[in-house]
Amino acid sequence: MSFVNTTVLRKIPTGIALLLSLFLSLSGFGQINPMSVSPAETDNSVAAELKSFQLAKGYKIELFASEDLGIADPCAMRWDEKGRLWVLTIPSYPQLEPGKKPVDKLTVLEDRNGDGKADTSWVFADGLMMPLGFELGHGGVYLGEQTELVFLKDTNSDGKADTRQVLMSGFGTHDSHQTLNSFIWSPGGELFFSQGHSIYSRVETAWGIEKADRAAIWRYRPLRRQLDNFLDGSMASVNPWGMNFGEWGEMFHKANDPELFYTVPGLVKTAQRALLPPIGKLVIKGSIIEIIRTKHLPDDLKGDFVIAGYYNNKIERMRVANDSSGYSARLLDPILSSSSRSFRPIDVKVGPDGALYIMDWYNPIIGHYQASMRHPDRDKTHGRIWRITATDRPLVQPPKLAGQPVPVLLDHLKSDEHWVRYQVKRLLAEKPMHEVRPKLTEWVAKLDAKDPNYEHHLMEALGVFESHELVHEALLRQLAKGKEPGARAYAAHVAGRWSDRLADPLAVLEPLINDNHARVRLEALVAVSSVHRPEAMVLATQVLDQPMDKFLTYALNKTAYALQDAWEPALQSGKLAFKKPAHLAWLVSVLPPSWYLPDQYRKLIGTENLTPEVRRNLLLSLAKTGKAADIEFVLSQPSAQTDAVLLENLSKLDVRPVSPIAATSLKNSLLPSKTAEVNMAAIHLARAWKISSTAATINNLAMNNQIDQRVRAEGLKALVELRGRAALPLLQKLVGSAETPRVIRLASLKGLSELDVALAARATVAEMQRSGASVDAMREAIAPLIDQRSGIKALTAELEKTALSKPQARLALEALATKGINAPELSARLNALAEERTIVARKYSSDYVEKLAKAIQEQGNAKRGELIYQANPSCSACHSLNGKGGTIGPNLSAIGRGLSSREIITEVLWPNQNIKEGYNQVQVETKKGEIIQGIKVFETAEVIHIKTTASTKNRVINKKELASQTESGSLMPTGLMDAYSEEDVRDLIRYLSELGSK
Amino acid sequence: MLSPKFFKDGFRSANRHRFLLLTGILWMIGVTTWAQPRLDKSFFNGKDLAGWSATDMKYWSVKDGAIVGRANQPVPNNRFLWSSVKVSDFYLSIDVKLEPDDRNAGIQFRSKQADATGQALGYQADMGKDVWGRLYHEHGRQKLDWGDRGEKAVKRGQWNHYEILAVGDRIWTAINGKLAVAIKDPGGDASGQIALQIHSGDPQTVTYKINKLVHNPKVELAGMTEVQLNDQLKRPEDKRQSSLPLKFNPDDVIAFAGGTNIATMRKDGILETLLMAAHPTTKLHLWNLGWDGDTVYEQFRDVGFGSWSKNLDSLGADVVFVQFGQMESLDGEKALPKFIAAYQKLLNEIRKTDRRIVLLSPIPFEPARSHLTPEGKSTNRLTTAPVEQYTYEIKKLAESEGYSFVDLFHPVQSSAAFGSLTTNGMHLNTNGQQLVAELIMKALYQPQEFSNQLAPLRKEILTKNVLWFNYWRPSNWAFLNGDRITQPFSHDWKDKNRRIFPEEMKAFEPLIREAEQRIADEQRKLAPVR
Repeated sequence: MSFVNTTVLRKIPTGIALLLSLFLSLSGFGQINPMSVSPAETDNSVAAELKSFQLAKGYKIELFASEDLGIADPCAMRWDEKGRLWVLTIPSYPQLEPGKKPVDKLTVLEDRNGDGKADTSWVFADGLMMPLGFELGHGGVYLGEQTELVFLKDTNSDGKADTRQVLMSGFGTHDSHQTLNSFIWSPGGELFFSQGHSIYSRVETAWGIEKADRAAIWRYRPLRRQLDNFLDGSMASVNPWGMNFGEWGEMFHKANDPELFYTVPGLVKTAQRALLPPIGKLVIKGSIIEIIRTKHLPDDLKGDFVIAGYYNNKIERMRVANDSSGYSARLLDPILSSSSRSFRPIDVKVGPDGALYIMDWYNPIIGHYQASMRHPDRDKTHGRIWRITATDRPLVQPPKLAGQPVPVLLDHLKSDEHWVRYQVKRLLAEKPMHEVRPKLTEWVAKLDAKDPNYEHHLMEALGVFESHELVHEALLRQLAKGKEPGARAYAAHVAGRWSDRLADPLAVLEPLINDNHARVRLEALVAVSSVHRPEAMVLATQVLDQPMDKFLTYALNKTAYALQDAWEPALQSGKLAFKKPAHLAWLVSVLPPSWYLPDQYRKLIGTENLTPEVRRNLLLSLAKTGKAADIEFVLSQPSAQTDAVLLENLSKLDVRPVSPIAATSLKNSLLPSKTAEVNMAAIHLARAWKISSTAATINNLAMNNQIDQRVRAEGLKALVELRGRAALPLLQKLVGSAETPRVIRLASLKGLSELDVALAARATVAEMQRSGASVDAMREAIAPLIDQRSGIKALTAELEKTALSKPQARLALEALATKGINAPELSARLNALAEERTIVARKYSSDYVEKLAKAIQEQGNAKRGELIYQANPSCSACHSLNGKGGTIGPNLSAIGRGLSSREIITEVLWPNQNIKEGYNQVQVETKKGEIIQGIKVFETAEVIHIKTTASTKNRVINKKELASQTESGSLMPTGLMDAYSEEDVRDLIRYLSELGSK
Repeated sequence: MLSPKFFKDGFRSANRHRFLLLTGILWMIGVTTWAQPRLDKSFFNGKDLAGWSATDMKYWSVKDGAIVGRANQPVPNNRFLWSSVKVSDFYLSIDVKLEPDDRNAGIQFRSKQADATGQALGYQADMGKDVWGRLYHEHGRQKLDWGDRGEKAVKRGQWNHYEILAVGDRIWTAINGKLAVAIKDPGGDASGQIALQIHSGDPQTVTYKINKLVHNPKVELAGMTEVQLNDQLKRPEDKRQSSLPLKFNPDDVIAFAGGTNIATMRKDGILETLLMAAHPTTKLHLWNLGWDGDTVYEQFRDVGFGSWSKNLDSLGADVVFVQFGQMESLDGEKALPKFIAAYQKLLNEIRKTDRRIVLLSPIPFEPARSHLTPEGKSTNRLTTAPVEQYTYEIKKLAESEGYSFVDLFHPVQSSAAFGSLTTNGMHLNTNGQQLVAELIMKALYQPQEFSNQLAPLRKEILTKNVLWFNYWRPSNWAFLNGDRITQPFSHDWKDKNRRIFPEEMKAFEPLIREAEQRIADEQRKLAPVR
């Protein structure tokens, strides 16, 4: 007896494998990631979890602390100078219940007997409300708690906080798993923390209101009470979680997603937003960066980034290498992996003994929104800290730091152990300034200049000065002339920080921006962006004199915006002199001033040694602002006949006046002797600007069977636009002739569809019969028509008159499914043509899910499921599995890690139930009647970027061309499994639920 | 006279607010339709009083195509003849004659009946000795436009041609073709009925000869174009709103709005405690709608939260304390005109006939407290921000718009403790909150010192404030009513169609109601024993 909720029975063909082609309500990459929802483990004991670990060779893992010491739902941990571990626990998460008092705590763990296991714990602060991050400092604790950044202090030394001061308030709380988190001190005593994608903050500061919409990184300078944010708008991950600084102060941050970022280029403060390129990524999500800098751990691990792979239950490892002015990172084998789905590492820290401490949230559910806020499987009672040591390597003996005088602390700045230096920096920052200053000056003077680490010691000293907001220009200048590129880079950074207090910060920065090391130039550029003077822009552009890379380009672009208020008025009044004309040309090409005149553009375009990109942008700006004569000028440029990108971009401008001379110039780009790319771009331009005098030339291209067929196809589209129905005879001739190449026939179909759907329907059915030999071919044949307004109806009507063979009808049905189109009448007609097989539409009920889940667990056959999955190539049209397949749908490689079989059932059978934002279907119709559907990846006031199943490239549509736009549901149609038996569904989901578990 | 109180159960208003927040029902915004002018032929048929009514019809009749109000005996109180036609945007033309000519009458418009005796509440185009051509607000705000232009145009003892033109918040009248009234009255009565008056007093006869009533009229009057008419507009004169002390009525809903300095009040609760203590036998509902970073330019709220003004409306706020200008002053003096324009616009959104609005001036900065050590001193803008100029302009705005104003800037600046009243140079610490609370109470003529005696009351207020904050501005808003409500998070884990988050939030309501009751209990303990 079947347990199916049978509601509809009808006949459809057997062959149709409408598989998981569009599995969109899940996520595994890129966008905002769901965390996972797994069934609870049956055995939650420490012993059971220990058994689940697979550790890389040469390591040992032990428990340091657990729920036995009050650690339930731990979310952040920090060391103090006594080697005690402070742990934030948040059982109130994810949402406080009405009328209840929050019970979140900051607990201190101590290993008094030194056996590597915490034996004592006490609560420092209680009654907290879902705080997500903290750091020790200035004799207290900085804590991010909901809308506030607070400072907690124990003034009577009883181990408990007794004062609470709100430092800043107005941070957003729209999502309680994305509030302030990942606190860390920079080498210069600045407190960094971050917020996530659904957080909107408005904070009142002495510099004005600091606004950060969506994910952003915050920087707080405590002595100045100065708060700044960077990269808001989720420009460098939607959920930054974990930051760290390299040995020379290079800043990195980890997304909760797979990506890893080198943060520095993004530290230019401007409201202008641009996506920061990542430097590497994990396979799937993970947070936190710990950089291994201890003698205890194996040499091989030194400098590697260790990452908390909370999603796939691993401790990941990345190796980071120099890459021009930045870095690149690659993934190595994990240090630890676990078969327990409740093992959720969310913080990693090297401890005072050099061991690696892993904070384990211990929870089968880490998804904030993927599970009900009151899901009973949300674990509120467990939490563990694990300790990984290297076998056969001695532990580090941490020095006594607590209560030590300044000179002793300063000497520890020479330590090889990063843990020691981090603690010492923090302790020196909280010592009274009048004690620190003389001793620090003395210490610097006594340093041995021959010490190979001399400059690093100076850098650490500079950081101590910074943490007291003490400007030490001599030391800064000394470091700026250092031998180590890192030293110079750090000096550049500090010159930026102190730019408001240095007599002439630009003088310090000038040699650095012309440094022979790219990373020094990058830090200098970021520093220059904080000097709000016109000459700062002059200096910034000098970075163009040496090779540029993606990091420098990113920072320089942002700098142009950051300093716009300063340089633009100066430029307008003629007071700004650039070192080279090319520098000015670059600036104007990036940020064209509104008052710039065509003559000025023409002059700049004449500058020597312009990069093609600068030249192109200037020509575009000229075309945008200029008159007919200027368009003539632009199109007569040699680059207009070689630079396809220029022509493409011109075609995206509003229609400009085109004189006969300009049109003649354009015809040169339409000659068959030019590259196909130039031909196509020129066709696009002629089409967009409706330059009908080029129609004859385009016609020649379209009829030329010697040239690239793509050119001919584009030419046909343009003719449809330029000639309208006059192009019909040509199209009909081409589409009806067997000699016409298929690509051209399809392009003709597209043109026909635009002009006359009835004619097109007839031609489409003929094409289906002629070339519809596979799903892909069938899809190509039907796409032009069904992507057109009324096209589906016309095709349905035509199929009433003209029959397809059964196999063709089946292929057509499948093609329809891979396009993700719900067209019930057309499907019905095709079904009728194809005949056979009963299909079952399943209705959602929790009982049904339970029964199916039980069947999956008890009888599911993953092997068979895999065959079902592989039996259909269209699965991979959207989904990637182990490196193969499309990217429009989420990666399925580790789906079984992320979701329980119950969740997978829902996602597969009723994809519309839990649509994640970022995976909403969007359907737009252009004014010309073209219908495009897919996933909206990006939208501005002008354009919309849509990821479709048709191409790996996003479709970019100008909103001016749009007739309508609707967003609803998942792109994965409901009913994809209707053609499958219960056994098939059972086995398929069994297979999916096991993915990633090995 | 104040409008009737609708909020007998004070929390009902908060329920309504929550209902709006949770269900995302938008306030029905009146849609302006560009309807054509329409002559209303049903208004008066020229023959009888069909479509007109009065509590006592004996005073009213029709003669020679005109409505006559006649009293042969002294009239004990005002009499009105009500038309059943509802008007909002309209033009009315009437010829009127008073006999004898020193009596008083008037034409009510956009009005409603105030009570069972047919008394009127609303605008009245006045007529009679010394009041010809003036605009009165009967039973309400009283004198709105009290100029003498009408007096000058009137022909005593003869027929006078009276015209009324009301479009949106703009009202004009003309007598004998000469402009009399011209006011812009945002938040005034938007629609209602027309009624004709005979005033209480000696016997009299008033003859109203109705020429025409036009709905959705063109804006032209007294030979002037719309632009010329707009140039004549000024604010109504009623200073009722701006008069301090404020009178608090039972079940008044009092709201506080502004940036961090207002938002932080919820944690000290001093002003609230003093207000409650000053009214020991009056149940008041106090809600803090302060939001960090709110300025006159932007009040950021997430999707589905409702705007600043809609929040105040959905709360049913009777009294609103508003404080802006401190953060805005960091933009310097050049931004002052922009600031005032934005402030005025924002206040227009919440202006209502029966709502009292109190503008609190910003407090001065304490620049020395903006850094922790001398080395931390920086060139931030606190030292140069012209808070005082902003204060002056806010005061002027309050005066011209008819809002109450409390100067906090000068008394804080001249206080002995100035320099130690903020945590960071901008935001009040507890001492600052106490000083400011006492200054506000003083301005309300309800001086009240904060003392230990008030501690139990304050404790209950703080309890209520925590509940209120977690209810009004809860974490996870995106899932409650923002852009993520379809996610499983806010739903039951088994029954995916059931949204448990809104249900949970509802559970706050009885808790808040109970907290309010405990506040009322503590209040009563402070009442003088008779």
